Amino acid sequence: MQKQRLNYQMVSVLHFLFGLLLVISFVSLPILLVMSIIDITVGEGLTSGIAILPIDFLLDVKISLPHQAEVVTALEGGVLRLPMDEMTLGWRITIISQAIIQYALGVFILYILWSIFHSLKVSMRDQENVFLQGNITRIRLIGYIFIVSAIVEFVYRKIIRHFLVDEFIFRGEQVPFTLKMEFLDDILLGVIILVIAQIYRVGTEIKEEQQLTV
Amino acid sequence: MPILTNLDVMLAKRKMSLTELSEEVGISLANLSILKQGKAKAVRFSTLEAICRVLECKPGDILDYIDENEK
Repeated sequence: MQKQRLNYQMVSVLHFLFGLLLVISFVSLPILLVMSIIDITVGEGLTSGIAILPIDFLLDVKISLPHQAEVVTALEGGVLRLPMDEMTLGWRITIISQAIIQYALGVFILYILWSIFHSLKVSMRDQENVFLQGNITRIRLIGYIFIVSAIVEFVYRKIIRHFLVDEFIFRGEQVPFTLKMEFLDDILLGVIILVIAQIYRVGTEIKEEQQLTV
Repeated sequence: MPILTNLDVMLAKRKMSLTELSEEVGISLANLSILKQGKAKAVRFSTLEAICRVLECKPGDILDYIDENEK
């Protein structure tokens, strides 16, 4: 009984926290949208001031050693810092629209998490059942959103690399570079969440069978 | 489902209501109702034993099998 009460309390706390985060996100979203529109049209850099994109330098460096041996190595990557007020309209639309889409996806995930904990709280209050049919869909949706977010990131970086960046000059020399494609973590996370949704589905079926066992 | 329950038939024969059976066997009315309506996915031996003891019948009097192909 003590353990059940503790579980219910934990779920209630998480339900409250996600609700609070959701309210803050919803309040921030229209402000972010207004500031983004001003950014795009006026170019004042209200939202972030700069865009930061991680890049890999494709630069071979020759190092001379004492015995005249040469070692060729590549410099580590860095970041491309782009002040918003120096960007063209195309750049601003690209960077800001990506930020808004990613923010909206994040808010949607928060809403789904709040819904999951809300349904768990209601169910645990009445019948101590945590395996609910609706939550299977919600967990799967979170997994799909992570995968979609990774694809959005990939598409935007391709757009930036191929349409917005003509050349990159480093210490007076034109240097080839690529934008880091760090979206694989999100895809892996999305797949893991989909596996968890499948396990949860099996749990729901087992629970349903147990409830219909007389 | 090929397994059918004839609980309502046995209750009528023994002139007993589902509520009375629930009190006698110690199983909730909701669970007995699931059994009576044929929605149950499984029945424990302990439940079957309790029902047969109270209704003074055999398991075959409560449970029946109908081949869905013959249907």
